[in-house]
Amino acid sequence: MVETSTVTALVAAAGEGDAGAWKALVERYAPLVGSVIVRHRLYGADAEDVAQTVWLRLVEHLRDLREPRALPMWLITISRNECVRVLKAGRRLRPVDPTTENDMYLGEVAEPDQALLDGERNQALLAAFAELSDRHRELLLLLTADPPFSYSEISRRLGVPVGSIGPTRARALRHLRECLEQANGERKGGPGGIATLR
Amino acid sequence: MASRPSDDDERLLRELGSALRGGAAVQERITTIGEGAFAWYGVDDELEFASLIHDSLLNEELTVRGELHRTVMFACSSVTVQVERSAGLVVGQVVPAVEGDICVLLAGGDSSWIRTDELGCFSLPEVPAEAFRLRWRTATADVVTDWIRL
Repeated sequence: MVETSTVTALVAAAGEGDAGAWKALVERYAPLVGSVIVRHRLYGADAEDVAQTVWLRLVEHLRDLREPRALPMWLITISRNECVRVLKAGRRLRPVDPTTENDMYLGEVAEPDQALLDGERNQALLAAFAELSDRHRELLLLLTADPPFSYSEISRRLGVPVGSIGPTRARALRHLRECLEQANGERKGGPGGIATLR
Repeated sequence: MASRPSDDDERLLRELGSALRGGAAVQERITTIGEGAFAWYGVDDELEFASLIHDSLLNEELTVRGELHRTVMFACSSVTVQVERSAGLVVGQVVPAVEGDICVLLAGGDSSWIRTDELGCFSLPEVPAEAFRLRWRTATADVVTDWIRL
């Protein structure tokens, strides 16, 4: 059983005004929003500009989000649109020569196909990761740290026996795969253009 | 006893690590900004909400001599409002026309008022430097738009 109830509960609680639930949602989905922004090569003030609009829109739409599984795609679409806005606005700062500029910005940074696929894969992974339980996310964060933590250090940090880490890791990754597969199935016909929930 | 991780698990873990590190450069600020955004929760409970239904930026490339022209439109059941930005100028129109004051609410908390004419037209003195929304009163409702950054 995929652990989606956590996100569903967090969305519902935040929609009722629970600031703690909102904070947890932001922590879960900040990596996803960040990955979209960085993929568009935006940093610093530009990245913050995008993030502000994305989160403000989400606050406004929390109560419309009746199907929380739509949240990752919604966040990706809004983030991408805002990145496009910032990138296009940046173009005002330099002259445009239509005879040579055939890479007019059309929604994605020009990337090799592989990088494009990697970017989509990363977003899918981060969206699935956000749906895991706190326990599983904490464990996977420690396991993917660079340099990685040893099992004994993880045991100490999480207060769990060393022997339980392997099986928990396997379960966490299985859940991650299940979330990825579910999202793949639901992605077709996902939102495009202006993501609106009303 | 710890089970031996499979190659698939190893690969998935590596991919996840790489994905997580991808956005790490901006993630802390994104989280902080996200937490702050909740200050706007519930402020508009009694208001009719006008959603963003059109954004020219997503459909067209209207770049004239390097200047950005952008049109956005918000709508709810009773009213629509169109806002256009061309270079440093922001103008708009509320339909059906409402003659009165529109509040420009900035995400940082500041606000200002602008006046509409008898056709419902208005202009902003400058392009807001942060996300903003518009709020005004029609004959039947208080309306607020979605957040927008022009």
